[in-house]
Amino acid sequence: MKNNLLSFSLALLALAATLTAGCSESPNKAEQTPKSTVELKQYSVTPTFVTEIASGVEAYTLISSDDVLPESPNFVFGGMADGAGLLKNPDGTFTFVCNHEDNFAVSRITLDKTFKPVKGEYLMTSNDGLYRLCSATMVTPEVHGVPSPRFITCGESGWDSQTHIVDPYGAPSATDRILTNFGYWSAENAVTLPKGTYPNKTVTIIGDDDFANGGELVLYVGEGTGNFDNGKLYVAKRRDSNSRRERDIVQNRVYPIEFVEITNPKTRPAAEFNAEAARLNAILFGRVEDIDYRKGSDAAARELYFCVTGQAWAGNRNADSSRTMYGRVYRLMLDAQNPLLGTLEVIFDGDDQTGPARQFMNVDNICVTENYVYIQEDPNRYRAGSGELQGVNFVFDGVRQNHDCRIYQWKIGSPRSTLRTFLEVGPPRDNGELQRKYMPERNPDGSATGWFVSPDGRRGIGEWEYGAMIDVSNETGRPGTFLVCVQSHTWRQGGVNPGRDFRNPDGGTLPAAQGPTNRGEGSYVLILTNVPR
Amino acid sequence: MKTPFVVVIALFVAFGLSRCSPSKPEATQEGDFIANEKVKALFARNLNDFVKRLEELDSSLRRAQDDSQSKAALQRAFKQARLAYKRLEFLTEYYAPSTSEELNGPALAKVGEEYKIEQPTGFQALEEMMFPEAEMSKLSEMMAQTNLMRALCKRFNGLILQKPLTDNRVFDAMRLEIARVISLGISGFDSPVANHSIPEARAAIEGVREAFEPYGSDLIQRNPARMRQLDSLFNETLAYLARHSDDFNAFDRLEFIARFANPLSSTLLDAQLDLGIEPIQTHRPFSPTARTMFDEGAISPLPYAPDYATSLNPAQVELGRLLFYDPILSENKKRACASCHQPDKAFTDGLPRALTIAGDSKKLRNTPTILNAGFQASSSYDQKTVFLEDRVTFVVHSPDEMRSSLDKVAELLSQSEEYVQKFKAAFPESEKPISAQNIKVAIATYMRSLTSLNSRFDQYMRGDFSKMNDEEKRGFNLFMGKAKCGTCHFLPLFNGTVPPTFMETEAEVIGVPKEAKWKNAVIDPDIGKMAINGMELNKHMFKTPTVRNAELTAPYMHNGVYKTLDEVMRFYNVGGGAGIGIELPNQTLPSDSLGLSKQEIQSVIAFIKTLTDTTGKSSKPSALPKFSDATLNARKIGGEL
Repeated sequence: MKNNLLSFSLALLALAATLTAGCSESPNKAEQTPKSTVELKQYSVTPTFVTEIASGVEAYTLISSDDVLPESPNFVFGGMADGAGLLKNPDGTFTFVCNHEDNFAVSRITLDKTFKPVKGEYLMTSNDGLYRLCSATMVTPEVHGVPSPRFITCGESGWDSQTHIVDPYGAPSATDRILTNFGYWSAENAVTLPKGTYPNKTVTIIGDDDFANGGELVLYVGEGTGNFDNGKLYVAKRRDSNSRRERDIVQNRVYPIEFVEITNPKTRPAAEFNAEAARLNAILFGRVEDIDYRKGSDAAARELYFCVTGQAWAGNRNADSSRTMYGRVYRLMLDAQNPLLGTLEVIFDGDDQTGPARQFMNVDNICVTENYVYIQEDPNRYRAGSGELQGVNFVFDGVRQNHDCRIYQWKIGSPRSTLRTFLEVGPPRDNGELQRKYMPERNPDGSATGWFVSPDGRRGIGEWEYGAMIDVSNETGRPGTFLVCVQSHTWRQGGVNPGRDFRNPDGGTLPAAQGPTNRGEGSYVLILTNVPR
Repeated sequence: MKTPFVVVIALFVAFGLSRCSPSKPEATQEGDFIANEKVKALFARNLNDFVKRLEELDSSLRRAQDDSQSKAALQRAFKQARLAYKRLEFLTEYYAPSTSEELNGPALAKVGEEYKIEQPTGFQALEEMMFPEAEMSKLSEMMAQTNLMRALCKRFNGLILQKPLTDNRVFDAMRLEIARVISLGISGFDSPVANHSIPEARAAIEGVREAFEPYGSDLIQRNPARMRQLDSLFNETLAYLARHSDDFNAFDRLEFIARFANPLSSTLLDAQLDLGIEPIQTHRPFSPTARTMFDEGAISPLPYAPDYATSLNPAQVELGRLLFYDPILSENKKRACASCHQPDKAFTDGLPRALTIAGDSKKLRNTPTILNAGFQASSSYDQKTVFLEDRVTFVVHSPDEMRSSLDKVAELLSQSEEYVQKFKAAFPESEKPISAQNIKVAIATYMRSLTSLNSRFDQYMRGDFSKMNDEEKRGFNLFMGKAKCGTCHFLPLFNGTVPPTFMETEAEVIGVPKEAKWKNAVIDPDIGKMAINGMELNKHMFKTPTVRNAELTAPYMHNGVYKTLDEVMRFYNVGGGAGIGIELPNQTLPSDSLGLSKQEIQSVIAFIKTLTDTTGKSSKPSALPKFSDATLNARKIGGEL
């Protein structure tokens, strides 16, 4: 066992070393379109930490918390990079906007014409209201018909969570506004459909990522294009049943659903939304995470996919196993004429121990292209032997907790069994310098970190997760180019840990008073090339 | 004596209808509301003032860096800031509950989503550093907290200022604030060290009064007598609070609630109805149409039920009662729910720990009463489950308790024609009436029907002032004041469910010893909630149980270590575990002595005995359903221990 572990670690060390060196030096193989000034290469001092990648796809690090940007040397890219959007600017440069979930902050990075990060600043800091912002959607004139781009980002801060709209080009700490008609949901993302999907309507789907009460699938419909302010709000319920139980919905069946109205979203306080959803028999999923629509045409955009993260069976509100434990991916097909009607089906069910998704460790973010669905894990694990797993008749599947966070790829329309691992990243386990840096034994304040250990003894298994995966082919002029945020949760710098101090990157007052930011987490963003679309 | 069936019907009527009954969506709210013009303007003004007070607090902290003599000024600035907050509280708690908690929640770290530890923020975190004496070494932390609160204030822009306020919700918020003052405000819940609760209660009521004032001219037109009545009630309430603001311990809480706060809440509802403002319709524990928290039926157990069991259907209650007393639920057909939850002991067993089905007296925890168990947002000592239905499943499946399974029980029950008929009647829409699902629903629904909120104390609160003697009254005032019992065993349920929203049920680390020793005691090895979530912060943490019927539920604590209420009071009086030699870094009970005299302890106990009420809940069924298998018909009603 010990020998195996050692040789495995050595292998990893070698792999990490290859990646560190290899990525920055390897020539760019992505197909060049003549106009593009973009060079896709390793821009960061931080390795990619890719341990598995689909053949033909290349990974580089765009930016990380360790990078010093020439025009803003004091800027530290925060931890927990989550929701993100990229804009191509009229002068040929790029603006990358990114949520830093546990910093309660939003960063704005300027990339030069070649795609090199040159400047960073905070568009929102924790001083701007202490909003924990998760995923986000950049709405643009081209796709959504809005007059100018806006970053729509969702608060995940308990009862008071609301959806925000921010001007990505605005002055820092100046443009954040609340979309009061979106209601209060501990939302992961609010995804606006393209302007042609339902002409003269603004249709936005919101995923309620409510850990305590379970999540609803919420729909906002505004009259006119780009109307986020006085539309109506709906929640999804089954048409064939009043059951709210997620797991009454099973694989290999298609369920008719409808979106039913929650009246007066503007005037109700937060506590009434869950009560209304219950009154309306809305489906109560585990936690509705990220949502995306199929690309290619207005009609395609009515085909949506979303992830649901699970919760332990035998504990809390999921003690009767009414909601998923390991995560699910659903497909929502909206009616061509009426966005309030549709069908729902389970595409992948992580709880099916013999199915194609039997390796799922809680799927979270999702990215859908013309032909593919990319499903990203946030491996919330379960502790074998803990009380939340005891008392019911099911076998706890410890074995699947044996991998780092993956992105799975599925080609739409192909057999489900073709689901495959597309990418895997995780902390280095070399028992040496890399491990000490990226998976320290101590938090900045000196407290022990206590990383999860896999059933086969590997430290820090599944500790990392992904944030947004976004298609930037159009912006970069390089088909198949994507950005992926990586939340490298074990990377903690500052205090007792040497290196650049990652604590309080936005300069807000949050960290001095509240725990999470004091952990000084770092994160990074990957560029992927040649991603099948 | 009433038959059980009558009791059941009465309950059903008292709690109104279930969520399944047809209910219409709220009509579109349009037009101009006084709330949106006047009350919001008032809020904006008071918010400005609050932000200024925070800035002043920040300035005092900065000054204190240079001048260590300015401690008193710090405390003054803190008090002014929280008084300013209290005027806003009725609206912030209503429209911004999370932000309110971050501004003024308990100074305790807690386990948040995905097992993240959340550090306390806001006033109470500051209070710990500033009182009884400001810790000058923590000035930078105090400044950080103050700045954080200023940042939090920005949220009110989106949460309240941008939101159209409506009259029905503002009235709801005002009345919830009165309930908040009654249950939390005057108990010292959010001013545990500064003891500034009474002036703060006054500021809170002033905030409510200010918000009501814009409605005054309309009320004078519609019902001048009501306006006069309400005016004088506001005046008297505020005057009473002003008169008694100096001495936290001496404040007569019973008089305040019974003579002023309850009538104020009640009259405000009358005024609302006079004004033609319909109470809101929403599914929550504290009914928006109840006059006070102490009214019959004011608090419903139904919102704590899962989606599939949202009524107190009498046929289900009666079926659940039969199942509760039927030992058919256990593997050996000898143990029923009632074996341990014995009706004559307020549904407990009188033992330190429940016996396992194999007779082990050291393994399980103390049997809790199930009277009023429905009023909780989580069940079991370690809060493993939310719903009573799931508790039924776990008990039936536990190898130590029933050692059976719901499916097995369903199969057995199907062999009884009598049960088949009763399940059909109770679950007429089920394709398969006898099922694991319906068994747990029936038993849990029966448990939810076991509400008993008609004790002498309740009757007193409803206006029969003959129901408590002087010692009991003193005991209540101690319970809610000096003895601090009411800061965890909250009014009016006296369990850990936090008023006035009743959405959350708290758990605490108090340091219960293994044996009843008063020196060098050893902590009971049960790690409580930590066994469920693995969090050190929750080690030895247990859900706060109800004090109602404590007269009948000895012995006490999760391990039954204390035989009498005197012992329990002695434990709390010395600061819990910390006072008997148990050092827990995460003890949530304040570790200082309460300083209660023997006489005061007796008064508290006398008061606790006014909370006894088991009326109409204790009768056993006269017979259990018959089986064709004669051996099964020897089942003992209520089982054996």
